[in-house]
Amino acid sequence: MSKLSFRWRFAIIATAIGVVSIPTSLLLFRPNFPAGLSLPAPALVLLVGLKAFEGLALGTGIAFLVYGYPLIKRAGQSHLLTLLAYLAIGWYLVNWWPHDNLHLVNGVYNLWGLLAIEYGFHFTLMVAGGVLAFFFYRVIRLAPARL
Amino acid sequence: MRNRYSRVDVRFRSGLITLVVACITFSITFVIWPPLVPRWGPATAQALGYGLLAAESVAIGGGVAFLAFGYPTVKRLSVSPRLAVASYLGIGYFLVNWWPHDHLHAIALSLDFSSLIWMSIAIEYVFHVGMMVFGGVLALFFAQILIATSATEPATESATVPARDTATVREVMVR
Repeated sequence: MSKLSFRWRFAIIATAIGVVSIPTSLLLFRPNFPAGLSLPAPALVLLVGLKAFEGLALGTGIAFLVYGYPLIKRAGQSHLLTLLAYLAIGWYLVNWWPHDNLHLVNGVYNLWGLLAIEYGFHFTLMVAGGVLAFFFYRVIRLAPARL
Repeated sequence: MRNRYSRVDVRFRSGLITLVVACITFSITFVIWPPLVPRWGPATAQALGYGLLAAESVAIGGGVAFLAFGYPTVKRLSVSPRLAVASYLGIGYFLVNWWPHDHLHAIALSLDFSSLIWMSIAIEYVFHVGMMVFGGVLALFFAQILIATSATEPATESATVPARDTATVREVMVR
């Protein structure tokens, strides 16, 4: 295992988690549609395609969370900003699997569930976007002098 | 005049743009979009809806400020220009997308079931998959730029230290 390059280890973790997460999400999260209504077949195909993207993003995110911190630390920013940027990138990749599946389970007309998802995911993603913009600006401002 | 303008702190200008765009966005929301929380919703839910709208407005303002001031810095980077521009656009998208995104979800919820399904799938592919792809682009960008930065650090140090020493030696010789 230690003979494998960093890229290979990263790719193996991302792919393995991605592959496992697709059937897991199909089994665990059943869409909560109003009684008597179901997805049309073409929409089901697109939904499965979405599961593939979510799985791949989840796998890449977990691989990034496993290997990414020492890399982000090299930016030489404060400990807090480094940690926040690392978590923000990870969150931007990992969140979609629980996020989209919770939207499906929550259903259409559950207002409080929808608000909980909005604050738990959408709001935190806005904050993560702000953290990344700040980190990006700080890193690239230093980069030309260092590279 | 131009020099005085350029001396104004970029943080101040970014903050000003964020505030102005956020105020405009917050105001026009009531004209062009339906409410995030339906009118029949309880008062607490309405308040949470307004809180979310405020966050979306600040995010879009921050995104516009980032897109306005970030590009000249991105151009100077020595990583692949395509990757640098994709990362710059990705962060901008992370901040700007929430305002149209959340309100399009609200519109979808007011449609009949079939239209709701198709519109939701379109939103999922345009916004959610878009952000997943940009998340991957950003992880790759930071990996490349930070690996490159740390790889050049010893060379930079070794280039700087002898230069200082040489200057000292010359001073000693002149004296």
